[in-house]
Amino acid sequence: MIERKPLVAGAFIAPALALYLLLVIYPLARGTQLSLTDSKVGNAADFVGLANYQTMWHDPAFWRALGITVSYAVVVVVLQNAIGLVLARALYLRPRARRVAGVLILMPTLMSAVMSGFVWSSLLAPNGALTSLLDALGLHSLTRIWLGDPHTALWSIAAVNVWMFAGYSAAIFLAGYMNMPREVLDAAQVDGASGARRFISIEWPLLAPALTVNVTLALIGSLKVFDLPLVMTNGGPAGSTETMSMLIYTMLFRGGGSFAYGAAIAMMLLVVVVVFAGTVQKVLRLREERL
Amino acid sequence: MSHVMNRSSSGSIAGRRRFTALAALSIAAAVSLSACASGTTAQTTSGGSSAAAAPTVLTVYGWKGGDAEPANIAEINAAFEKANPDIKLDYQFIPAGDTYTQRAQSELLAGKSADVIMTDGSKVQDWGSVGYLQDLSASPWLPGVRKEVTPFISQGGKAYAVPMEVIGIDLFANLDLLKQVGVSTAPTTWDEFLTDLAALKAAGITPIALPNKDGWTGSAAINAIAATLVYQQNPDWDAQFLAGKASFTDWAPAVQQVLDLGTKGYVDLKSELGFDTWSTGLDDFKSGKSGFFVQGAWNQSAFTTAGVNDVFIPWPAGGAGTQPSANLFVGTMLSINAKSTVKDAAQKYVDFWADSTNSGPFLESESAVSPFSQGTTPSSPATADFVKAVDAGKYRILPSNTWFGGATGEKAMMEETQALWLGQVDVNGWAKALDAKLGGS
Repeated sequence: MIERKPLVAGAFIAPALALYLLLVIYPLARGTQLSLTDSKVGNAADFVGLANYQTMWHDPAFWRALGITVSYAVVVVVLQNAIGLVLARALYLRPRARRVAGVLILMPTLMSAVMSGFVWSSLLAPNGALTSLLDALGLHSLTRIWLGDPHTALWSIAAVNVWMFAGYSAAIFLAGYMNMPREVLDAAQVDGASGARRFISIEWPLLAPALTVNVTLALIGSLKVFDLPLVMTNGGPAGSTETMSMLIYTMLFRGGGSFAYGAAIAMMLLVVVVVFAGTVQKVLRLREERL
Repeated sequence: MSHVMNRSSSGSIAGRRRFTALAALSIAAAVSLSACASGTTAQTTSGGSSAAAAPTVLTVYGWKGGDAEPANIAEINAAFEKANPDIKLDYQFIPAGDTYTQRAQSELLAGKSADVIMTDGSKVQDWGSVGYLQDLSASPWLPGVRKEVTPFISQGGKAYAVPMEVIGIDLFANLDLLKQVGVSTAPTTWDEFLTDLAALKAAGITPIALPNKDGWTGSAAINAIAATLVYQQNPDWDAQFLAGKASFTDWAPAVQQVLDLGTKGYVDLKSELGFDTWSTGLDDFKSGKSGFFVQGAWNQSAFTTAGVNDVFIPWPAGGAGTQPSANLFVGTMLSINAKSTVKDAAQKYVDFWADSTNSGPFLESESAVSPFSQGTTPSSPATADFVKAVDAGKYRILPSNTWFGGATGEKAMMEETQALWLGQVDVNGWAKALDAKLGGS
């Protein structure tokens, strides 16, 4: 007979629980408390209730940053997963190339975001490699001031984000492919189903768990994006790439005594991430159950 | 049964022995650690019997003195240690900007930062107001600080820093490129400037570089022009703006000058938004790729080292017969951590910097102006015209302690200027946006 020993169980989880309380719950509680004060630089200050949140409600910079962040996340999640899926299917159908190509597509993920940002800033400069390439191909009409034009700056950063993590999404989709029962796919092929029909009717439904994981991770990562816009555009031009994380950073560390307001925006970003990621995950899990 | 009991009793004896050994080891480690800590404490305090042999260690944070901008800091620190053999300096270079603020501010919040901290006008306002910085109002050098500089080192009526420099952010001119097009001296009026730019353009040389990817150069250029076109007419503009009696519409002529450079084809303002100020911009001017360039005077040493034959001048914004005004910025300062345990040593360090015979090498390296009324400002052929304007009283100081400072001031000007260059707003729209964001009328 298995004997329950709650004290022993508690002793085993206590260290992990203590770390979780110290590194997650305590900073969250302190950040919330800070957002309800008028602290200038993080020092102890007076309680002001929801004043910072009221300021946020009427702050056009906040709403602009929120719109930029959500737009960025939608584009990155869709493109990253679409490209990742295409890569995964290609690798699945080419087992001989899988080992080498699988490593190659993961290489951008292994670079730090700061390094990627600097490299792509140079490539996307007006006199950079991309403009030179387009000129050499006779496509001068397609050249742009990629990071200096508000119509292209945010999507240029999104493209770098997708380049970095499409391989990561592909790896997760590939794992989903490898878990598919081979006989189902073979049977469909024998029955004469085309590649598109096999994808729509068999592969896509069976990839539901991998899709849930990929979309959730990509959504959380892109809503919190910070390093790439910081390095590549510093939030410009004219604030067109200032995400919520960048706005928080400005309030905390770029002077003006706005530490508490920055903490309030950080709380709001947490709410945004939880609501969006939670909703998406709920919808995708329900889809998995239906399938 | 007995063999089971024997195994359990021998197991518990072994367990007791292991526990005893572990406890002894823990106690020994704790005793060693506390001995080390007390030894370290004795070394860094100025009192106590063990400090008679060991010098006081004074920790200093600064964003000058790194490889890219040595600024003769090491030389001055060595002179300080020679004059104060009982003090040993631990100078730590931390890169400027957000990196510096993240480290210093976080440590000040935790009560564990350096004894002396490099600051600026914004940091004095933020950190002075919350008690992070030591009150230096009783310092003997305070009455000698230029009266225009005193507000930048003060907060709430108290002084919290010794100013190290007042530095120009204005126009560099490449004399070699100007000579190629038959121009022997740098321009002093707007018409002369336009003539020089046209000559450079005709010769296929980039007339002026204004890399503005992060917005800094656009804001700097407009401020440099405003020094002449706004502040010569109204030296009290900043105070009037804060009181709601002046508006950024007064800056329209200054803004228009930059736009005119674009319409006349001397610079592609939209394209400049794709070039990085601090890498491409600086490297291109060092390589002799443009005739004129807006930057801070602290770059003069690097340009001289790179072999650029240049001069640093006030932006020639005025008409014939007008001497242009210099655009100055109250730069780095030194403050004492209010929680420092070696305040006497820290005070000696800031007092040392207040003496221009000691800080002269720093001012020379930075091509900066002394912040003290009776201080000596080094002059070189490259900066002679700029220093002449300052000595004649023709200058304006960027209000980094009021509307230009903090999270909103400079950032708002950078953003709105980028929007202007993109054509998203016109000059009136630019002025209205800044009036709304920064206060005033």
